[in-house]
Amino acid sequence: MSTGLLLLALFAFSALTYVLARRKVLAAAGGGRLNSLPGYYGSYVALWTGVPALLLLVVLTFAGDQLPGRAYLPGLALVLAVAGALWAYPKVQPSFRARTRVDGWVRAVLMACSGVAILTTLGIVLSLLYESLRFFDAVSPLSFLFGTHWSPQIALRADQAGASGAFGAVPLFAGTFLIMLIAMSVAGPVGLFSAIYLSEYAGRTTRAWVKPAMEILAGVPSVVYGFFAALTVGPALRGTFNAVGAQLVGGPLNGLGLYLSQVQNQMALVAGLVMGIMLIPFVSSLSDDIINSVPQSLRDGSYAMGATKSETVRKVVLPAALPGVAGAFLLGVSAAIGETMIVTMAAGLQPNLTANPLDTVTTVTVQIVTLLTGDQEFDSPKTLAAFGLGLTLFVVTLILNIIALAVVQKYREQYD
Amino acid sequence: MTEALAPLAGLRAASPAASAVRVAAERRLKRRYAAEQRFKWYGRLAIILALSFLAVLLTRIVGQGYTAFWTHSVTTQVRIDPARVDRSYIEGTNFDQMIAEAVLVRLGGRDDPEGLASGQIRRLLSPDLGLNLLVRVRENPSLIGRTVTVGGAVSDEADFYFKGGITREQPEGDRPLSNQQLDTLDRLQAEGLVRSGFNTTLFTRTDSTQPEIAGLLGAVIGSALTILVAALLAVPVGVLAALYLEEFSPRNRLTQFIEVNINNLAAVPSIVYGLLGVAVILNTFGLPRASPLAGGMVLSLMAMPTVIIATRSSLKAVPPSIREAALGVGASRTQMVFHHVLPLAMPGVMTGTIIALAHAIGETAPLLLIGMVSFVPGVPTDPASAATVLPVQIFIWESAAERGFHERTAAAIMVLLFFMILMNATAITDGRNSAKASGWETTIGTACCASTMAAGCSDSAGVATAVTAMVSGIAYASICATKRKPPTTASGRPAPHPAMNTAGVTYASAAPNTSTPVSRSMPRNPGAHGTVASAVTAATVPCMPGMPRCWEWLSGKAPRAISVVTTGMPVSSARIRSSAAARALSTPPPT
Repeated sequence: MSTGLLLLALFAFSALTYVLARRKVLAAAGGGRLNSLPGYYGSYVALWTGVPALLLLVVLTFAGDQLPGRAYLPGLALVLAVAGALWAYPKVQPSFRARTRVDGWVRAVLMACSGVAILTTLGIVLSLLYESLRFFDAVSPLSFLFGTHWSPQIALRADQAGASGAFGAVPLFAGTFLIMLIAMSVAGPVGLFSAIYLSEYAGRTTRAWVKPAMEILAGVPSVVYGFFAALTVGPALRGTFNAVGAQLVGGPLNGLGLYLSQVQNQMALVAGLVMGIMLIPFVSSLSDDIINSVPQSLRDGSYAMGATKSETVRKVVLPAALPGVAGAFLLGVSAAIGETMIVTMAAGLQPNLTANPLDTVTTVTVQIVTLLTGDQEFDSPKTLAAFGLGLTLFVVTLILNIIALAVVQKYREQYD
Repeated sequence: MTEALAPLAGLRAASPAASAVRVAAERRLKRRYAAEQRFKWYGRLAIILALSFLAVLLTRIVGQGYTAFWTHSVTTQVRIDPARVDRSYIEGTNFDQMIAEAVLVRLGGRDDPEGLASGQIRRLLSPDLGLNLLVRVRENPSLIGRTVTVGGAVSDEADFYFKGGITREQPEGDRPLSNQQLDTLDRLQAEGLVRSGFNTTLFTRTDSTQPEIAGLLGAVIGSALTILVAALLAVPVGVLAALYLEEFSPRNRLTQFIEVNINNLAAVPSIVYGLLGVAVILNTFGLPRASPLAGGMVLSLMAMPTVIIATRSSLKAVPPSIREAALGVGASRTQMVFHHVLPLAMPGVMTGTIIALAHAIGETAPLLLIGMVSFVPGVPTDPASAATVLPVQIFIWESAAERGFHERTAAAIMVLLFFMILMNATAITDGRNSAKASGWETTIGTACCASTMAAGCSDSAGVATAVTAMVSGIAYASICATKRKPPTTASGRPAPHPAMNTAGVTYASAAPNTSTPVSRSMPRNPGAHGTVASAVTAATVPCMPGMPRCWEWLSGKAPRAISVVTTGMPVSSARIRSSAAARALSTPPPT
């Protein structure tokens, strides 16, 4: 019997028990008082009929292959449904507290739903840990974290004995850090200054128009930014640098000119710049909130001393808001580190240990995508390396988030 | 900084030393005012910069993509030469060559023995023409030996020439078309064989390796199915979880842990969810790779924290008096929540949900990992079949070498942004008009869609019905939201919420037939509903990057209104800037 048909049968049976229980209790009351509304008696029996069997079916669908005797499980589900009905039906009496019981069921369902959040975290942590441990069986964690040579393709060959040298992730971390730095040096000042202007200077109307317009920047999917970076910003910047380089060649800065005339579309600057644009509303809306929650009395005090508005902002409001703003920046940093599409489309694949924004670098997220897309068997160290990188990414962003949230929370307590 | 200002008034006496001090002070003041102006301009510049980035981004995309919405097609008459068709193996016929030769003859040319002239023309036509002819001949072999009219797209380069992307001024070696081919194209146009028109291919066909016959239908349906699965999973679970955390849970370590967990989940990079999808959903559960089912599950896990956070904030905005009144007339906690609190919070829930789903529609990275990046030439027929989604289609086309894919990528982005704007507009109008009903209409639209799916959309007709149901649900909801004014009473004040007027429900410990019904009407703060909804909108819109204002819930309390009265103005005219302040004010004092 197919699962769908079984579900349908189960549903019909539950509905039947609902009607029966409702009728029974109405007949038993005979116009007298009931403890609960009649529907609750019906629901009580229907829940006992349906839910345990349903749970069994869920287990069956997801883990059926591993269970012994799975051929009998659908039958068992039906038996469970009948047993539930037989257990609950005799309890239906006018004095029975059906509403309390049904409320208990509802509560259990709600509790299970909020448990899904924990399960998700647990799933992330366990799956990343499990696969990473398998990866670290093949490659030592130290050489992964501190090695400076990243070349996962080589390790695919069976005759390659010293695969450990090919999984040094330092160039990836460096590339991620470089792009994050460029992004934050765009998003940080622009975001912070627009937040200051919007919260301290702008009138109601300006605010009402500018704020949503800036938030559009955050709503645009990152794949669109990737397209923009790869086909507009990249060629434009390359053209500019090449032209400047061509001017410098032959002059006193010949070496620089030669270098500039050879930069490529995939330089770190392109991805960083576009990512910075994407993060502007992030920093600005978070900072805006923080600045707004600085008590007005602090500003009033400063004005009373004769300070101008900008002096108040610089010397009173910003120091007061600094922890919160730092938290906002940290959240921006963690978003920059985890951002995938822009770097996948606009940054290179070449691991490169450099601090030069005009060079091509690759990032952790780019490598995860590269390692896991395309055809490969799941157990190779190459694929598992993606989980090692993912674990690193998860831990770093988690730490950043926890610090940011803790900082912001502490700051809030100060003024609340 | 102020030491020079204080004695200014006393320095009227024109002693040289005093006037020197005065000049110095005035210079200093001037400098400070200049600094003030500069500072103001930094802010303005930052905003101008951000907005001009947005403008450049949007104009570039529209500028690159608008040409993809029209295309050129060619129509010609071909005599199907019986000598060149093997009736037992029609597929072996080179129909492309036959059409190219027909075009050549039509233009008065003659083919050379090497077939170079017809070969040049073949490269100007889409292989689609030959394919069309093949299908027609296979269905109706009597066409062999007759003259038929075939039509179809011109090749991507020819289309590009007609749109002005390739000009004769470019050196011949640098462009994909030779002078001779350009001459042919000009003659074709002069003869009236080429027509330009709306590019229906873009919306009626699926992905292809040839840009001129590649379309978005598969990706749009894939996106719809994926979002549907995500919504069906994330919305009920998210809303119920939020109800538990906000209305039922005891304040203990476990629930606090859950809260911290949810806030951190909202900030986990999306690609980590992709890894989770690969490891758990594909490898442990064994769901089919690249399917909307697996993709929707990953997206639902991503969207759930945002749904939970938005729901909690709109539950917080429901005045406590509602809860007290419900409990007072004998409702149980569950009845109070489901009959009163949740209906009042529904507009905010809907707003948050739609925004979370709009964000999920644009998500790419996790879907790449679960295999949706593979080439899918057909329309996905059910949630378990291989599919791709709009953003991933954009990613695939962006990396394609053909130039024709570039404009189509930009066009695909415009389609994606259109869907996102539609959803966001629905969410915002929904919240602003406090139209709870329109929220329900969206739900009903989605539910229709779900039932269609449950009925088994095993063919493309089923999928089409499902998509139509969803689109019409959303469209209907937005129409209702724009049409409906908030209902007002005779006194001009906003009418009570409809949920308040439903009399006749009795609560427990009353006989079913004999007791007097307890009316559910109760006084409420006029206008609170609209304020609540807009506050929730304001609170959830910044959630779009996927990193909502977590600390409010981490610390277990929403920020309170701060110092709204310190300026000495009446509260209503004081600066009520933060949404939190607005929310706090909208809560009436306990009655």
